[in-house]
Amino acid sequence: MARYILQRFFSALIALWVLITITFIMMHAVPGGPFATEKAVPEAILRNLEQKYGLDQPLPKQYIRYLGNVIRLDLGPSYKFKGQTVNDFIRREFPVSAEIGILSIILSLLVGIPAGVISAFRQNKWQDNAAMFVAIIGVSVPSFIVAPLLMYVLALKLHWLPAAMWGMTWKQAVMPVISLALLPLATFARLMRSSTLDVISQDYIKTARSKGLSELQVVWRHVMKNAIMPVVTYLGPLIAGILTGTFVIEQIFAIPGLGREYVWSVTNRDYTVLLGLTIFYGAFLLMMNLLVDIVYGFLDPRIQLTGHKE
Amino acid sequence: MMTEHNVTNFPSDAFQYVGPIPEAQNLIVRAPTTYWADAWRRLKKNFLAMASFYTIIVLLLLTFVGPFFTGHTYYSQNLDQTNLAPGQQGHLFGTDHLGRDELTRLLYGGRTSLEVGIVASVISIGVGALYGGISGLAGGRVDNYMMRVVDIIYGIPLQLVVILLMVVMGSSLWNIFIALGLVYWLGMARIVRGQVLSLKEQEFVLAARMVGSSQWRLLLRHLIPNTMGPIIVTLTLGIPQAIFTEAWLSFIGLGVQAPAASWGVMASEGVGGMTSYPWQTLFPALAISITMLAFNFLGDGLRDALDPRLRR
Amino acid sequence: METLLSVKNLKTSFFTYAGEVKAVDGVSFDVGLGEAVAVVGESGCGKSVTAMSIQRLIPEPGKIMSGEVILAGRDLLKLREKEMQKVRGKDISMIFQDPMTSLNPVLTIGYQLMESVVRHENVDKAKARQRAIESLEMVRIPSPEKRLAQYPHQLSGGMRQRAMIAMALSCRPKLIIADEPTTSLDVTIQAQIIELLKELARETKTSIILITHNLGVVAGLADRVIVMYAGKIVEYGPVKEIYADPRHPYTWGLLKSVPRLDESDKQRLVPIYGQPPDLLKPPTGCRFHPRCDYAMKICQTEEPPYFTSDCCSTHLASCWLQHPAAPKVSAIPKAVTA
Repeated sequence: MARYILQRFFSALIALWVLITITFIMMHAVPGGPFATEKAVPEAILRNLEQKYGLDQPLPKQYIRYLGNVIRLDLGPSYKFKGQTVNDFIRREFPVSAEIGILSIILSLLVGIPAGVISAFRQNKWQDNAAMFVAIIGVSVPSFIVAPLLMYVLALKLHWLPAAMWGMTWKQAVMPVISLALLPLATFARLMRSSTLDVISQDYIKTARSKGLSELQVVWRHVMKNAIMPVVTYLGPLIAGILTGTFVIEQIFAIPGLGREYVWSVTNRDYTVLLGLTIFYGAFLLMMNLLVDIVYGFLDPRIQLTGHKE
Repeated sequence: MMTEHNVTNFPSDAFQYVGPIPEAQNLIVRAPTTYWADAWRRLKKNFLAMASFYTIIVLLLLTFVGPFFTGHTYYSQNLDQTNLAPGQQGHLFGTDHLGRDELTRLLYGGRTSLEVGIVASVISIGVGALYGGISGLAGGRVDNYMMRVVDIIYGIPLQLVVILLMVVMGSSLWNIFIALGLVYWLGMARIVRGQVLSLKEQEFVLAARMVGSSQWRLLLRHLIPNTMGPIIVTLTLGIPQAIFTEAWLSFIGLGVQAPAASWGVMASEGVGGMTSYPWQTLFPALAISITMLAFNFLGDGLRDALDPRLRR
Repeated sequence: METLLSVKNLKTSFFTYAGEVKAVDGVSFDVGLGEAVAVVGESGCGKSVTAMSIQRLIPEPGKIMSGEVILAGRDLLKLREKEMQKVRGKDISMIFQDPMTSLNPVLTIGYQLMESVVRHENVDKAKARQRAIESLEMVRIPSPEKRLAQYPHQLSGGMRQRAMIAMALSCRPKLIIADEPTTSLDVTIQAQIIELLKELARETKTSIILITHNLGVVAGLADRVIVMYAGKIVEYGPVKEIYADPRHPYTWGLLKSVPRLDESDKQRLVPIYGQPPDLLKPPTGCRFHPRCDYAMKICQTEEPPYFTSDCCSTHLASCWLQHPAAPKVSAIPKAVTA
């Protein structure tokens, strides 16, 4: 198990390093350098920035320096918002995004998994057909399409919910969370259904039944633990999906989260923030993936004991 | 329980020898059909998949031919007729904030979205199939290293890389093709490699080896046709993925540049005016949803139809 | 011999898209106390469905249509599901074909062993653990305490099948149904497992229904043999009788496809040509007639009854050749003796 975790940790580190390197290359690939795009920059500030990023120095040296800054968790200042650092943005705005994200994950797990299991046990009955029809719509309609539709119906037409903003009442959370949760919810339901179907056709389920276990015992002890595993492996991409979803959702609902900040940095070409946040998000997602891998390792005895899948 | 019947009254020739029925002795349970004919037969039975298939054809026709017949162009502005509601002054779907005909833009934007979906998918599948095919065929250490590279890239959050690429390269249709194609080939590479590895073990490949087929011949004649099933499924399911990503990029401000349009661009432009002109968002939103649904249904149907394990 | 299990006119069907598949179509037989009965036949002949019907574990879209399954005086088909659960694992337990897939990969051997003891007998954890260890000792698994904490993938195939047998034995059932218990094992291990089953059955006086397509296995273990074809029993009798004097052409075919060392190479291994019929529309008359080398006109239209023979009333065959009016055929047709 320790070997497995260590192995995962190192591949995550390598991926992070590759990502940092990509951002470094990108920064230098921007035509004229990251700071040359705006004209009206005072000479002193420009020089200051170039010095901060060591742009006057040879590339390898810059690269080392860049890596060093990242390792010291210094993601640099904002170029457009004077006196603010990327770290300030993260401290202030990430908790908002995290709250939306966590609520969405909880919602999608709580609804998606039972829906999938029920579908599997009612295979090809109306419950199954209905759930799977809704689920395929869920995976086909992106969150940034659901959000305006919800907003139009629930806020603008029916006036049940506030149309935008965050943090004043729980009602403001309803639409963003539902929009974000729909895709993972539908995916969970589909995954859980197919893995449950897969498991209940296995011989060891026949064995469990032939022992005289009740249906509930069979499902709880023998089906669930096996069926949940593919769902766990999907948690990594899911978190990434929710995170990139927040980029757009926060914009649509005018939520002051880090995702909106990220999109602003794109539209304003605030390169230092863009790169800093990219690295932050990258590191965050890699950490989440590592966590998921570890959870998976604990669920699967084959990994627990030998450190290998299969 | 079991007793001997006292059977009488049989016709005189009842116990005449007739022997086995020859066909039954080499009975083939089902008529031999080719893989593709079989798959097509199964697909045709799937109502949703077939309905989606025809929906997609209609969409393609509408978006590629439709814009010529609306009487407007996607770029001509008319500042006297901005934000018209659907049906007003000859604009069936209304106009946008620059007085451009929504219907024409919707059809034209659909062309862009579908192009992005199809081209980006094809690129990523080309790259992935080649990479995975080589990796699987080479086997051994080469395979090991090539797959290690895939694993590492897999660990990188690719959406972020797409954003960076688009920022650096600038947002144009071609750059969207390239960015998406370059980034989404990994899954394909894994699928093809897996297929190749398992096919390599099968007898017909061994047989081909024994008669002295070269590696390339093997790749082309045996392995590629046999991996076509999963490739087609991945392609079909990759298209909505790419359409989705393009629309998402548009919301971030990295979509195709004006005056060109895509559904994503139109939807994101519309969101700002949701309160007053909801149709400017609703039409492209519905278009994206219908298209993605159709491709997903078709992809699911194809997977069921092409998966030989389901053959009963 | 006292009868433990009595299956009467059992009919089980599967309702598929294409129609009703009568997988088991009127099967009747008895199993005596402490007796081992083998059910043989090709795959798809209904032998496994018979076994699952006895346990009432027929999966969707299957359904037991009619019949009786009487175990020690009680008709299992009339029990409520809750009562049936008390029979499974307690009175009747099962051993499946592939020990790799029949054990849950994410639960320990110990957990899976103790599960049925805890379920059926009012015992605490420590006692259940003790029982699990005893069961493992019974099937001659070395260092049983250590095995309890292990997962299935840590055991070899033979060991896993022993663990399966231990699980089947753990509540001291009256009847064990072994569905192809050795098919997925190495040949050397097969012999060990059969030997083990034989000894255990003798020690514990447990009845066994052995389902197999391998007549070599049958000879080693069974007292009586039931030959099934296309959902029906075609021949039925004591194992010695079946080997010495098989009556049904299908049984002849089965016996000829067992390689035997004592035969001279004059008699070659002969396959039964063709495949079992499509049970959606089974052949009229005798179901075997399309593949039968001895088919007569009557076989195509009339279903043969069970004929006994002059020597013994316990040996029955459902074949028109047994009719007094039928021509006499020897078991080995000229066509196949080279």
